[in-house]
Amino acid sequence: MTDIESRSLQGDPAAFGELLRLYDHDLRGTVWSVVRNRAAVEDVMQISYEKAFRSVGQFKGDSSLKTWIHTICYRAAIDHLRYERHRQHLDESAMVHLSSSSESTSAAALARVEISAALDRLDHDERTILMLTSVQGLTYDEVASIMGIPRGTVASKASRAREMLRKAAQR
Amino acid sequence: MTTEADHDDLDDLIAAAMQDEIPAPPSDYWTRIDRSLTRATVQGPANVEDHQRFVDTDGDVVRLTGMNAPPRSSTGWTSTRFLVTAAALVVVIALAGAAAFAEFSDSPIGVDSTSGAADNPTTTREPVTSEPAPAQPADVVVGSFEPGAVTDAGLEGIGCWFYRDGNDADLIFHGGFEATVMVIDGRQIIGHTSGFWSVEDVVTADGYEIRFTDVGAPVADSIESQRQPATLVVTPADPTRAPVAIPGDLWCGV
Repeated sequence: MTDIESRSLQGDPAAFGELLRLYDHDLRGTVWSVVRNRAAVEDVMQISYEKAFRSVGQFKGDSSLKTWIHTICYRAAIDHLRYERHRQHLDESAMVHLSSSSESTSAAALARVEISAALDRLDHDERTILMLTSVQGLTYDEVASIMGIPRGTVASKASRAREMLRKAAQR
Repeated sequence: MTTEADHDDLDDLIAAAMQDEIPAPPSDYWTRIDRSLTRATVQGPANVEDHQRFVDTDGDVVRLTGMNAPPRSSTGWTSTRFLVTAAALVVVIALAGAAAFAEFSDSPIGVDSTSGAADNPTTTREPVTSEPAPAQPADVVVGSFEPGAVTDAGLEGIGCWFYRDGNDADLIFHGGFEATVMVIDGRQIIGHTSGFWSVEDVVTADGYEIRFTDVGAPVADSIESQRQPATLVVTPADPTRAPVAIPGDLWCGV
């Protein structure tokens, strides 16, 4: 365990903030894959981080501290999605975010544009699984732990999502 | 099926596309986070009852008191399951009342809506009359639903999952952080009994009792999830109908 982690677990807000700076990009990616709304990402991140810090005494070390915070962020994102669905106020304005490279005419760039569009058509859990595996390099076991679903479900959803994106890329 | 060991150009494209999408934090982001952490330091540790909430069908949150979330265990939950005390169950059912156990007629889950389900799920059971009962009451039928249907229904997809006969394609129960979902007698029943990480006995508004028996030793399948052989028993309120017992695997994850 690193010094920052040790101090974080002792409730040192400066150390915890430092730790979050290390993890933030990955955690943000996971939350984004669920909520797909820029403003909501900021809300969920702040809520999650505060919640994680206030609950850090409950961390039992069964997983890495990053995985534990990841789980809190994922849960908070799912919570946000649920409340938004209840209110039926989903902001669709931020649903499609094509990269600046989308204007490139190379085959790879076109495939990437198709993939970006296809990502929006995936279920949020499939998108999250891809974010955690393809982008962050987590194992299926780690993803299953974060998302609270069986490993077999992670594998089957990953396979389905990849197949969908493969077809999109080949258009 | 693609495995996690497989990696090809597609993964690179997916990774690049998804990386591009992640929104950059606003300029005042870390200022707000640091302020938030400082505020949390002053407020002290989180109250575990933050999770003790009841979500009604309108999405409004009502806090419950006097209910203790069972401690989670990495070595097994047999000691923590069935922890709904009579008092807590009364609280849940009383609060749930009419609204908590709702059927979703427009649910994404494939449910036979022609199975004689009550039009109004909140209607209480009529008292027994002198009318003759059916000679051969139908057996309780427990149906399946797709794993994604739980989250599609707007419920948190975290908690415990029961699969028939160890087949993880045949999901028949989800006991989540905020709800229990099953398809019984052709109707999807969602009980919003928030605040429990493990599986407890549940009694629906229709009187079905849902519980697990013969729970075997846990097998750790990932860092913080585990699988246990168990038998799911659904007992109808109607004493002339026999309970149904379904052997399978119960998964619980963080």
